[in-house]
Amino acid sequence: MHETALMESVLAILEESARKNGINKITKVKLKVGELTNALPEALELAFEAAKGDLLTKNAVLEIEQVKAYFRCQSCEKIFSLESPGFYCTFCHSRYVKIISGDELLIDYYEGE
Amino acid sequence: MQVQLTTNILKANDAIAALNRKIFSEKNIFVMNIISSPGAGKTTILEKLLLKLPPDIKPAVIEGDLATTKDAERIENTGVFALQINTLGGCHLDANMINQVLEKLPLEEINLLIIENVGNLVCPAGFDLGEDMKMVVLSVTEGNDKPLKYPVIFREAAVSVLNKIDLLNYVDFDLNQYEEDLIALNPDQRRFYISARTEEGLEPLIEFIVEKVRAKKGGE
Ligand SMILES: [Zn+2]
Repeated sequence: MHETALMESVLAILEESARKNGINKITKVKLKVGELTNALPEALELAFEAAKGDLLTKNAVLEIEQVKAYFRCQSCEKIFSLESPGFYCTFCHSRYVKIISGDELLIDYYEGE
Repeated sequence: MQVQLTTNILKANDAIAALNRKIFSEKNIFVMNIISSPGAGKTTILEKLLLKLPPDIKPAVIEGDLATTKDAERIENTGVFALQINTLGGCHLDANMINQVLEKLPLEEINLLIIENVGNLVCPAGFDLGEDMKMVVLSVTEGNDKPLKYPVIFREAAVSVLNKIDLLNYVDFDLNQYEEDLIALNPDQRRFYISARTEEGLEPLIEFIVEKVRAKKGGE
């Protein structure tokens, strides 16, 4: 699945940043993964374990924060979350809603020495 | 030491996608990224569609496939330039794979590039290739529950195509529910209902694509 490709990208970004910051060992990596992204935390963890085999990230711990999806209705301006993926406003049933969270796929921070 | 990054994991892909988009824009090429599960009929739709394009529309096709070149051969049989990208098991095309083959494409001679993504409704949705438009294809044999099961792609696709409508009487597909779910996910989406086999409904879809290509061409 695409979690492998995502994790390769994570490691490439980490490597570049660690080099810039003079970090030789990464101890912790924190990701923020929105529930709308189709990326499964378990699969990301598996991909991380498979890919992290080099010195920089060998002992790193992966922490994934799942971010719940929230929407703002463009008709009534109210903010709501969705229990079912219907994508309409819970208050006024407008179809015009904007995603305000839940579609992110971020490296939040990492720790290293 | 803690380093705050707040970096999008897909930033490398998105940067290359932006580069691709710039190249396509400079050459006035309209690019369509077609996404579906395996067996929805993408290649058959393309075969029919390519043969019916008016002469001012000059297409080329990129075929994303896990391993075989079967689909590209089918496209070539229509007389259209087709290039195969084998992902070697990868479940999606990414922007870099497209970038890598750009010089093999007749970019100076075309104004429509169709990218047939790897058959999969989940993974291709996350990867911008630099296209103008995503088109999601579903066939009635897959069931009407797919849009809510894979909301990301159905929300992102500017165009949806329901294929194999000639089989509607033989399968358990709730057309009203399908339409209702799509409207909820993406109220602005253009929806088409076709049978690539009988060619029913194909004409409006072709007209829509032709219009898009001509608009990008700048009304020459
Ligand atoms: Zn509302």
